[in-house]
Order: sequence, then structure tokens, then C-alpha cells
Amino acid sequence: MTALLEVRGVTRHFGGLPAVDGIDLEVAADEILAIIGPNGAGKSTLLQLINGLLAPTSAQRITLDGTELLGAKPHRIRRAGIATVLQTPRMFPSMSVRENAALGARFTGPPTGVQEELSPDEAAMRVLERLGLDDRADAAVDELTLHDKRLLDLARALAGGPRLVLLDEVMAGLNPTEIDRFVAVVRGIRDDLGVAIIWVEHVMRAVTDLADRVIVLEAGRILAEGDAVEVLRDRRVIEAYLGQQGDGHAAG
Amino acid sequence: MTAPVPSADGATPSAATCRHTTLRAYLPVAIAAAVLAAVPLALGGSGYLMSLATTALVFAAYAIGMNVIFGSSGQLFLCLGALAGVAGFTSVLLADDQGWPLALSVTTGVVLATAIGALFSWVAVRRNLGVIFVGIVTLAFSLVFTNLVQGLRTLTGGETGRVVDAGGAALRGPISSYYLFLGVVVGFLALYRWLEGSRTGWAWRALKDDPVAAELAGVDVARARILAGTIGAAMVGLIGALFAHHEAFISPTSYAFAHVDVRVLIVIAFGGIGSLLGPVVGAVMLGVIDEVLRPLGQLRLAVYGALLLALFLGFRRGVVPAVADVVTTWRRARTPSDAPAAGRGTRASKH
Ligand SMILES: Nc1ncnc2c1ncn2[C@@H]1O[C@H](COP(=O)(O)OP(=O)(O)O)[C@@H](O)[C@H]1O
Ligand SMILES: [Mg+2]
Repeated sequence: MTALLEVRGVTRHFGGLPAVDGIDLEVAADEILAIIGPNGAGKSTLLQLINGLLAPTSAQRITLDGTELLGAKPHRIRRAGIATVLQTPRMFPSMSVRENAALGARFTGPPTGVQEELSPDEAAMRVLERLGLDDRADAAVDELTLHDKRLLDLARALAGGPRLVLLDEVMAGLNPTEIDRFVAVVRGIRDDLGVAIIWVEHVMRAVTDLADRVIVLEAGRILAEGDAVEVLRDRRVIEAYLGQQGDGHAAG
Repeated sequence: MTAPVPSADGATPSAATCRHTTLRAYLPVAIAAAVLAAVPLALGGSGYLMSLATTALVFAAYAIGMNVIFGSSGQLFLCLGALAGVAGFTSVLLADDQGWPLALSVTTGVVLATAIGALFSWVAVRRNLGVIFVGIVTLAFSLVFTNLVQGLRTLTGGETGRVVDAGGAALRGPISSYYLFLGVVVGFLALYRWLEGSRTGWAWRALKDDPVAAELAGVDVARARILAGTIGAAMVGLIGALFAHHEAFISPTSYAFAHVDVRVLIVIAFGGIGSLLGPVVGAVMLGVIDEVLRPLGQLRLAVYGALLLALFLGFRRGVVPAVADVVTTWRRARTPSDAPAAGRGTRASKH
């Protein structure tokens, strides 16, 4: 496997305590890597170390296709090809749905899989069509449901033609129908566009459906790694993760 | 807060309609230019009224600069007067004492003011200063500037100021100077409109909504902020330098915080932060208020302070946008079908 993203020895402390503790990981060009783990395991912190919102306390390297990204600001990392959808949808409330999506294309390349020259608005419409938001292109963002806000955040990410998308618990708070729709969308992004995905998720049904590989984080370290079904059978994982959840969430 | 109004067909605009809307975006600028160009005719050649009108243009131009700095990227520069004064004094000293050509003196003054504005923005971005701290730092600069001018008596004429020789007939004549400053205002308005539609304009809009989301969408937030401070300072510097040569007299009073910054804030509060024509409307209102309050003499400043308080407490978004919203709502209630036309109005006056 040639890695698209390579993360080596990344550590981040908060108040002297490690939230992410010497993590190594790799993602291939068309892979869906799921990261699971109990609350406070360091999943969101890890994503923000990759997208540049947080600076590591120490790190050997973070490279995308061989390009060093350590120390780069988030907008540089975005332009290099890593887009992020955070846990809480981040919208631009003064802009319409279309303008929100188009903003993702204004400062970066064309959407993945599109060869022609497109205006930001045209790029936005392509992506909104793919995600089924085109009928609300001129709506205000505060008219959208949580599910559609997450889709719009994803649309903004895709409009800029990323090679890797980081998703932080994008299924949280969605109902089962919405989860199914979102799973289909995420699968489509990888299958049709060849975009790699690192996907932090609590909804285990979605993880077993989608992930090529799973990493289990606990207290900032990798506890287990491998095929979804096998990892979820691992004793240590059940103890660390499921034991704490204890609500059948993982059985899904 | 203002929801964009759905377009009739919802289709992606073609290249032709894009160009059409681009031209239409400049229509308010053209209309404002035409109306303001007719003002001297209406005033019937009264020198006194012409000088009031020119002052209104000067403050409209300052306010457009403030709209770029504060309206676009939320940097509260409380040193517009000082930036204008840096350019003004630099230009006067070079032209009158060193014998430099006027254009070169003005340019040098503008470059210096621009550099200082850029420096403040850069420091604010690097140190991650919030709105209040940017306000405090720039206010401190205003104080330093005033004291420096008063202290360098031999160069600047101190508190009393000095007569300015350089400045041709175009800058001094009541009608010609009006049109000169009108040209500057129209140029600034066109620049502002152009910036709004540019990548930089979208960066400003995005970072005002949410700087973190903007960074994640690929916006270089630091660069966009510094650009706002730089462009705005250049605008303010240009007006400050031209003003000194126009008045044929320069003193710290013309650039004092109370004289420039407080009044620009009133203009902005009237016209609405970040609205295209707000500065022009606000400056006209300020001119009227100035005249009404003239009998009060020094007490005028106290009234300005109170006015500023009332405006910012009562009309955070500006008086004109608030009135425009009421009118729009009223019109929409009467004729539901004219929504797209009303949409443009709210769009231009948002933020
Ligand atoms: N900005 C922050 N300041 C201080 N502590 C933080 C911050 N962000 C995260 N942490 C701590 O780091 C640990 C990992 O948090 P996080 O990455 O959000 O976990 P997860 O996403 O796996 O639930 C937690 O103990 C959390 O309290
Ligand atoms: Mg988290």
C-alpha cells in the first residue's frame, strides 16, 4: 500500500496530559479508515492535528502524498487537499446554501472528478446535485435540518476537490433514515470520486458497513487496528470501548 | 440574518447573465455619481454650501475606508484621523519644505499611512488581538500622533498649525475641488464594489461569519485581514493628504480623534457598517447635523458623543439599513411578487 496520508509520532498535550500520544497512521488513496474509541480518547484532537487547527506538542511528520504539512496553517492544508467536516456544522450564515458550497471552491482547485473550468457557483451546483441539496441552493442555511447542514459542510469540502476528507462524528444526532442516506453519500464519495476518508464515528452499524479498516483509540493511543468485524470482536476493544458505552450503541 | 431570496428559475447563471449582473452591481455607484455630480447645480454656486458639500465628500471617503477596515474584517481602527494626518503632514512637509512635486509628496504620504495601517493589521493578526485590543492599540497611536505633531513645533507649527502653499487651482477652487473629491469618492465606491465580488471580498465575508470555518475552506484569514487594513489605510491616507492641500492649512485639529474618528463612526452608524452607499448617505446626514448644531460651538462634541452612543445602542446595523428593511417588508407585504427586486436592496446593505 502506498500511503496518501502518513502520520508519524504525533503527540498533543493539554495541560501536561496527553490527548494524543505518539500516533502513527497511514491512509491509502481510496481508503475509508474509521477511528473509533470512547469519549475523550483523542479522536477529534487527532483530526485537528491533521487539518492544522491544532499544533502538535511533538511530531515527526504529517505528509500528504509526500508533501510535508507539519506547521502549515489550516488553509494551506486545505489547499493541499485535506478537507474537514467538524462535529458541529460550521456554516456561513450570511450566505445562501449555494454560496456556502461555492466558498469551498473559491480558494482551492476544481471539485474532484471534474475536468472542465467551472465557476465557483457551477462547482457548487455540481456538488449540491450529487448530495441532493440542489433544490435548496438559494435557501438560507438556518432553514436546513442538522442532516442537511452536515451535507452542506460536506458539499463545501468536496467543492474544493479534496483528496482526503476528515469526518468527525457526522452521523451523531441523525435518525436511522438519515444515517442510511449519509452512509450512501459517504460510500459514493469514495467509490465514484476516489476520495479517501478518515472517519471518526460512534454509529457502529455505519462503521461495519463502510470502513475498510478500523483504528481503536483509547487515551490517545492506538489500542487495536484492522478489519472492522475483527476489531469489534477484540476482547480489549470490548472492554475499553463497549464497556464504557454500555448502552448497546456498538451492537447496532 | 437576511435570507437570500430564491431566484425565479433556480438555474445556474450562464456566463452572459454573470456579466450582466456584474455590470448591474455597479449601478448604485453610477447613480450616486450622477446625483452627486448635480449637487453644485442645485446649490447655485454658493461658496459656503459648496464647502459643506466638499466636507461631506471627505467624510464619505473616510467612512468608505473605515468600511474596508472595520466593516469587512472587524478590525476596529480608532486612528483614522492619525493615519490621514500622517499622510497630510508628510505630504505638506515634503512639498512645501523640500520642494517635492505635489503628486510625489501626496504619494509618499499615502505610502507611509498605508505602511502604518498594514503594520497595525499585521501586529493584530500575529498577536491575535480581539476587537477591543485593536481599538486600544490604535487609539493609543492617535494620542501619540497628536502629541508628536504638537511637539515638533518647528516642523508642524505645533497646535496652531501652518499654512500650506502647495496645491493647485484644482484643489482650491470651490467647484473644482468638489469634483476632485467626488472623483475620489466614486473611485472608492467602485473599488469597494469590486472588492466585494472578488476573492478577497468573499474571504472577508467568510471570516466575518466564522474565521475557523473560513480557514477550513481554504481562506488565508491572516492575509485577508492585513489586506483590509492596508487598503483601508491607503484610502484614508489619500484623503488626508488631499485635504491638507485643499484647505491650504494644516493643524492637528483637522486630524484629531474627536474631529475625524468620532464623526466617521457617526457616519458609519447612520449608513450601516459594510453597506456600499451607507457612507455617502451618512456623510450627508452628518453635514446636516453639523449645520444644525453650529450655534452650539464647542458643545457640539458632547452632542456627537451622545449621538454616537444612541446610534450604536439603538441601530447596531445602521439607520439606513434598518429603515430599508422596514420599507422592504412593507413593500413585500403589499406586492408579494416583487421579492427579487427587494432582495438586491437587502443584499447590498447586509453585515
Ligand atoms: N482545547 C482543549 N483544551 C483542553 N483539553 C482538551 C481540548 N480539546 C480536547 N481536550 C482533552 O483532550 C482529550 C481528548 O479529547 P477529544 O479529542 O475531543 O476526544 P474525542 O473526540 O475522542 O471524544 C479529552 O480529555 C479532552 O478533555
Ligand atoms: Mg470528538
